[in-house]
Amino acid sequence: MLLFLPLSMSCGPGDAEVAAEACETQSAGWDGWGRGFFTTWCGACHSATTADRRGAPVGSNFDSWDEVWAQRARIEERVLVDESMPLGGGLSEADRAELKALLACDDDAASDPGDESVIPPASLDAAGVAARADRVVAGGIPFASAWFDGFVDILMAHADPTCPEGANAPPYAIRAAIEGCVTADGWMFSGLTLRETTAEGTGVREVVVGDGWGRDPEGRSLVFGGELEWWGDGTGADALWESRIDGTWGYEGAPGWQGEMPSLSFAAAGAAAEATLDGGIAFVGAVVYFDALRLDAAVCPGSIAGGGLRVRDDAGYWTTLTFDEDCSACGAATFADGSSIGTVCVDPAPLWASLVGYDP
Amino acid sequence: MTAWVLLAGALGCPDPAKIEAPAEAAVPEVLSPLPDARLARRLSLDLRGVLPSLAELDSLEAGQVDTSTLRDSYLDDPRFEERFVQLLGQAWRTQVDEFLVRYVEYPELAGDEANEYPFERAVGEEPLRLAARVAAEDLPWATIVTGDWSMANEVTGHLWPVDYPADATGWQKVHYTDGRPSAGILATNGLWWRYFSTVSNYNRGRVAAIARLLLCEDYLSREVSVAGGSSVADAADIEDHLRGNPYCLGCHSSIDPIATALFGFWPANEYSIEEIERYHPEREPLGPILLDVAPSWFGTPFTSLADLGPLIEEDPRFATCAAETMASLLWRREATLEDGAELADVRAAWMAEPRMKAVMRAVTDGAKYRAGGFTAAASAPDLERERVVRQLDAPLLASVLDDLTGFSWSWEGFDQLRSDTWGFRVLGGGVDGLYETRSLDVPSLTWLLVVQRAAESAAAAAVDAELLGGGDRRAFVAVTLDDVPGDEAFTDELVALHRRLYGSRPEPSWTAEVEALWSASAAEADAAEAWRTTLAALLQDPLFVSY
Repeated sequence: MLLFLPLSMSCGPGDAEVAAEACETQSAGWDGWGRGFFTTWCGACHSATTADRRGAPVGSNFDSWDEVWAQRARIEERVLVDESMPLGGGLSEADRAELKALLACDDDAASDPGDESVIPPASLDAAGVAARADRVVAGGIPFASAWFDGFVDILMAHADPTCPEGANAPPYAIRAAIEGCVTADGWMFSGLTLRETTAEGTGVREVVVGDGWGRDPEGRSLVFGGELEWWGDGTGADALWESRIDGTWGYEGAPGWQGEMPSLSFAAAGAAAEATLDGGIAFVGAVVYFDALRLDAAVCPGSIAGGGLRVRDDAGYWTTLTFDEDCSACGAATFADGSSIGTVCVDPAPLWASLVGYDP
Repeated sequence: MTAWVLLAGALGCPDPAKIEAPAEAAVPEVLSPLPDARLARRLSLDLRGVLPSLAELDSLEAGQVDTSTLRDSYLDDPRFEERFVQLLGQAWRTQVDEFLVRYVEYPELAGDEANEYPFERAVGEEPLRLAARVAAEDLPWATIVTGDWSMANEVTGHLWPVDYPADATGWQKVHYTDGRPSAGILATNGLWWRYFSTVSNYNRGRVAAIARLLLCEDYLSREVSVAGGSSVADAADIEDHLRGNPYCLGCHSSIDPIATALFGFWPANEYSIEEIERYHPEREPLGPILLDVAPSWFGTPFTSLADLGPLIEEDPRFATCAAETMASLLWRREATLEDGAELADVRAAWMAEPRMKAVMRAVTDGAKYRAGGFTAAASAPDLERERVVRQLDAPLLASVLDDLTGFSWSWEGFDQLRSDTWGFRVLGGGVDGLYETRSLDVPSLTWLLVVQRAAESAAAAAVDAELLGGGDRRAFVAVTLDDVPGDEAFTDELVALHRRLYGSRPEPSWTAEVEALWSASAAEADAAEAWRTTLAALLQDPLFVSY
């Protein structure tokens, strides 16, 4: 960061001749140099607004010239004398010289600390939040194993012996040229998937990595980019399972969720009659993030036992819904700026419909 | 003293000792200004990428306009936007020849190798085109980080999730349709394909790019000591170190909270087209979770990527960096501490009007930009630091020759002067964005060879099109193949060429030398070949390739 001559500061005349002389070598003052310097090197910890001070003493903030001026002796000691700040060092000699000169200035170089950003008002009301949540929840729980089975079904139905390679036989580690290959019935495939199966407990853990795409004869896209992972152990009432989908997996010609071409970063874990849902699912027009949402037949059969859900608006701001523990599937909704937008209820039935009978 | 300083004297530039600085300007005594016509040439090349027209030079010579008036007209010229792309590209370095995703992965492009170069530029120039449109329309510069639109051309417009008109061609304003927030360049594929983040890097590298491009704060240049830290060779320990080791926290205390804003661009597989061309809004909440830190911009909390633009706009370093970046680009050297006074003028212009044209006016009003030589008071550091002569790099040469002669050097779809995979951009003094980050400011052997080949081809193109083909006049004014030295039309043509190419009128000795060259060539071949030889020579003259 370079230096500028004073625009609004008044560096001097100082109280002491020595200080005034030193101050005159400081070419930019608080507005032109100091504010940027302290923001860059100190603001992450020494700010009244920072959420994590990382050990910085409470009240030791450098958001304004007044605050810096009041603590100038301590700053000089820590930065210029014993060099214990900023953490890890890294100040150039030029910056050290400028800081020394700035701290020699008198204290009337005050400046506005700057405006903070303002979050726009919530664009979704309680009904709008509920509608988006229900749209995503309506698809049930996206299980990785089910998605992979559907993916293989497509390959099995349309792959031929040479395109894509390996599609017709387990473990379905398929490979197609980067430019793509075309099957006898007109499907195009490009890229690859790799599948790894390992024993874990008395069950099996499966991981599928995908990087590719396809196109059916009607021009509809098939995409497989990211990772699928699932594990299951036991059966019936003793069953335990985990499932994770990261990436974009879908086919425009498929019914339900896969036809939405969703993007996901979603994980779930549970047993026969319970599950915890974490992570996000994005459809066009509805984006939801599950915050440890709990389904537990022993506590709230057919409803939501706890946790939360976040719903995103079109501008990129989230409303957080924290479910009450009364099995109502309702809870208080709070917008990104902390304001309440009322109570929102979600229909949990589709989640239960997909959970009951799930067998990884 | 640079080679160009010596060259400036050898070219017959005004003796610095005999030039007096304008009385009204606070010109440092060490610099002497360019003559007006040469200054107009510099302004035209820097702001439009082309030479001044003869009509402009006539107006200047007649005192009907001054250089500031011309400069203002250049800022409003339709070619300004394209030139701004090339200029800013040297600082933002997104015009690279390689991305993680290649053109062959798109079925629409895979079948033709000629699609490679257009694809790479369509990707890499997206943020530059956005910035250039902001500059050209004289919008507040902060629009580059707050706007709800981007730019796409017929390549990316049909590949990416944007509302590019079906029947359109060329660069158009578009809106992404995948739910990404309004954040200008911070929400573009082009910027994040260039500055990609591995899955385990969690967008930290992208924050370093934001800091360098928009705040001129380069984390990677910090002289951070790790002497007191323990080994971070074990990848599993890195995250713990970044959150707790004071030697890491010096940077990561500010990097990581900003990185939380970018998780919509965090791919599950950085090589998957679908994963990196689409925004993933459902991953936005992952940032604070995976980085274990609350979102903040150097201590000021935020909640969304959409907040980042206004925070940057409010940050005084943004204004400082805009001034410093443009000054460095137009001065053709890094701004240094010694430039404080003139940079303060530029920043003051910004504070009055936070738009890039105001910044460019302030820079081009300054003595450092307008310098054409040194006074006797110049010290050795002055001679080393200041650039009183600029050199045409390959992309600017391409622009000039295209405008002057219609010649465009292309092979297999690759622009030979603007790319390196199959071209000569770096050999010709240009910036590739990865390995060469500043354009060449002194002549080199490869630069000379590139200039030679380009000049020869451009001269041939002009003669073939204009003198043999009867096409519209661009390089030549009125001469025909029947005119010979001594004819009025021949003499007039040489005067026009000298003025157009070099920005000044010729000396009689120069005219005689060129006539001799033309005559010698004509004697061996014909008039067309003589003009090819002559024009090729003129296009290699130091007065042409410098400005």
